[in-house]
Amino acid sequence: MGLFGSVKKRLTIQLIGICLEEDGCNIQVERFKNSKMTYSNRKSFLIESKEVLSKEIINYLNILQGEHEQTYVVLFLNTLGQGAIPGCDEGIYEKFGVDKNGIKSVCIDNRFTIYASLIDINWADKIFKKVGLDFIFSPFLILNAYIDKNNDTKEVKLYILNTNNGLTMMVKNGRKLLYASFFNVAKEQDLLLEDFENTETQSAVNLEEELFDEFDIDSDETNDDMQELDDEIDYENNSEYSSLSGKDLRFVKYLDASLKEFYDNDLYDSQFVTKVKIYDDAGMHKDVIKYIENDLLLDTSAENINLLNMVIEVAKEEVLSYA
Amino acid sequence: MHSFIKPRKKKIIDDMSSLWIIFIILMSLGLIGFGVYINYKSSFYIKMLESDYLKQQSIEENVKSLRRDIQIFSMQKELETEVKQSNLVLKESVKSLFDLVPDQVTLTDVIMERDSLILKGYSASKESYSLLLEPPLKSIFDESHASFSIDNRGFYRFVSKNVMNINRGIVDE
Repeated sequence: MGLFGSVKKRLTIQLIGICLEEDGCNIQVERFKNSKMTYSNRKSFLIESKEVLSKEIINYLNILQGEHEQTYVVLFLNTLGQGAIPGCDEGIYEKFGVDKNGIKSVCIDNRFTIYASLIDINWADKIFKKVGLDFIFSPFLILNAYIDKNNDTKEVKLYILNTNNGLTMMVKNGRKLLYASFFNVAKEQDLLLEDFENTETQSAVNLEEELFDEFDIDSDETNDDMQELDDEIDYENNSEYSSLSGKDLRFVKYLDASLKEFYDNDLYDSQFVTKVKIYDDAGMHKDVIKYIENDLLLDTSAENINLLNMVIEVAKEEVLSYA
Repeated sequence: MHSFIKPRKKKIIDDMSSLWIIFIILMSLGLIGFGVYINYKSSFYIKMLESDYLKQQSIEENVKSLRRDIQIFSMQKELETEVKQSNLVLKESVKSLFDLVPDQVTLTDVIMERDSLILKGYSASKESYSLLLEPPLKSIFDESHASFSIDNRGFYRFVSKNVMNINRGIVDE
């Protein structure tokens, strides 16, 4: 940290963490001086569409930015076009079928690569054009920050970051990433129930391919497995979990599908997962944990978190270490 | 950097403060420049003043020496007139001395000094000296002594010493 960095440390740094959802926008503001928090505020706005920021939000953010020069606007990216893959070599993109030219990637500690499609990054840039953006964080980065913070065991464990509209999963063996996936649980683009059942307007295969492309999963290999899964568990008619809402239900289904994908796909170094750790920002139903423990036979622990706290913490580290 | 995008560049100070800082920097630069200019100018004037002072000193000395010269010249002039006058006086006194000497007295030596007159000569008789020469000598000089001796031919040889007490009538140098 040079002179600029040490001066910066003494200035008030304002970090604005933003999480955009389908119908709302959560904004958390924290101010730091000499690495100590001097102000914290959280505000939620209703939005009509995820494509446009309301004037109210733009005004709020611009007023905040006007108050402090050292303001960093941080977006938690929860769009579908992103993922994480083990390793940082050049060859991994081809191995996992990721189009290198259509993404922006960041290598984390030389252990794994997180990426997001340029379309999604441009989308974020576009809707924040009137405000300005400083950081766009992948949910994998945030989940990894939680994992590193808790300095978890060396065993194979499934980590889940449950946010209002997204489900981020990472299977790690100690510090090594084995598998990662991201799902949107807010939208009704339900791969297993809806899309496969309503094939009137679009063929199931097309839709499936489209979705799998976004997840960067080799659709040919998993097609059959997913179909099987769909056949095996009829979630909606299962009385045991009838209390689960659509979102929680999708959580369960995606978790199921992901584990299956992890075990069956040769791309991944499939090791047996016995434990699940859930970082919950959305307040999920107790039955979800019950389901995971009883039906998937996984030792589950859950922790309630405030997602934007970690987003801001990671941003703070970025600001201070890259000053 | 773990973000998908790079953060926007931040200014350490806001626009108004940077304007102020630029203004203050410009002002202080101007002041420093002005100070340097004044310093340069004043040292220039100080140097000029010093050289003028030296010049003035040399001129004063010149004037002094000229004054001394003038004094010397005026003194020389005075001396000259004095010498001329004293020569004149001397000339007259020699003339009057010879007028004073009667025919019976013959002078062999006349030693004339500033305040004394020594006469040596022959006289036919003591009386001719004491009657004809001594009275005018006594009237001129304060003291007048004469000593006599007789030589082979029977003439009286006399030495008359006449002294004038003060520098009466003679201008001091």
